[in-house]
Amino acid sequence: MCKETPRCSIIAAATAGFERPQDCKVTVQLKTEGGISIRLHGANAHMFDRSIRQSAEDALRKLDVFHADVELMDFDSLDFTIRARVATAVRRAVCELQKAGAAVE
Amino acid sequence: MNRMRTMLFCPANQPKHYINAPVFHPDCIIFDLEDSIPPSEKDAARDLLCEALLALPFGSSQVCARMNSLRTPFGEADVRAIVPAGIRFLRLPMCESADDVSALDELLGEVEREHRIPLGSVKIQCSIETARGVLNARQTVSASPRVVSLSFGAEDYTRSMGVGRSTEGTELLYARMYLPVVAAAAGISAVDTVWADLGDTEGFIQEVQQAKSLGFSGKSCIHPSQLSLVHDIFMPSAEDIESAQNIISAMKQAEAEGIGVVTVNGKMVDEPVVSKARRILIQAGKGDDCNE
Repeated sequence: MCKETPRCSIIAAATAGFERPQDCKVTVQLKTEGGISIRLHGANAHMFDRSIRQSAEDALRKLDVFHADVELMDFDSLDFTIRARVATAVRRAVCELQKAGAAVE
Repeated sequence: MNRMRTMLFCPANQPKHYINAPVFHPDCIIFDLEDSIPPSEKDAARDLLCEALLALPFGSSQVCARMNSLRTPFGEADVRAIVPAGIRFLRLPMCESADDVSALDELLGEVEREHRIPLGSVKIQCSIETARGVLNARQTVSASPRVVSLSFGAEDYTRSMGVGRSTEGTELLYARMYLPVVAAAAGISAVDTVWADLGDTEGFIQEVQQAKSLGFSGKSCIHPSQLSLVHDIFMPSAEDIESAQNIISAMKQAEAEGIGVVTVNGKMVDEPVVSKARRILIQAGKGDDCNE
């Protein structure tokens, strides 16, 4: 998605999810370069660091996002929730990009 | 028709419900993308439902999604996302005419073809929630072979009638008497409206008993505590189950022997008796689901 978007030079950020049990709050900032960076927070996030990162990376890859900073506050969420929240945050960020592009035009 | 004693509503944007709902074994879990989800969270709820469908088992419970109406900006996006993710049962809200069902039928056909899903796989439950919807219910449920069920929604119905809701539910009587008749004539199930007062268990039980006597096959529920009460009330008695099994056995034996008419316990068994027996076995969880 991002690599095919001509307006990828514009950085956009968006958030999805909530700070509540079994959920997670994800902020995605789309970039034009620099690869993927994921920062995790949450009481038990260190225990599932690898699994959480894997889920977030899977979701980004599925949406063809290769350059993004992701901040994820985990509240004991399962993999499907992480993937969903990352996907929603990415879609919202892309939507912001498109709005910004439309405004420039 | 299949067993649909309970449909447990769960807002689709809360992860905990995907984990917890199957534990209570409702006949169907209905993940809501419509009224319980604010417009700003429609996208997130849809994404969460899609990922859950791809990742989680739901045990013995059928999974349904209450989509947004196709008259809203969200309805088509719901269908295009959740059908490829695996949903095969949709509750279409605010069904008022055959056109509403035809529009969904057409969209589903398009999505099924696009994703190589067998045509007709996705079934529809028509949610009848307005005065116009009640009056047009016969035509609405006949608009597509995908329709396997109807449900009644009292909140919007009373709004459309310009009346309030009472504990006795007198204002709902016409719709609650008429819709099960429509369903029976169409050979589909009918699911009654929710009971919102969780503190009034006695009132809830009375309403469920009335729903059963009116011909509904189940009830939409908003809390797990309601499930066992509904299951108990809609469970046929042991005598009824045994009698229904005897009727089906006798009918099968007669068919095998090429006999047209059969009697069980001295009473003639004809098609209405067989249909009733089948319905009892379905409600008891001992029948063959026959959605097709």
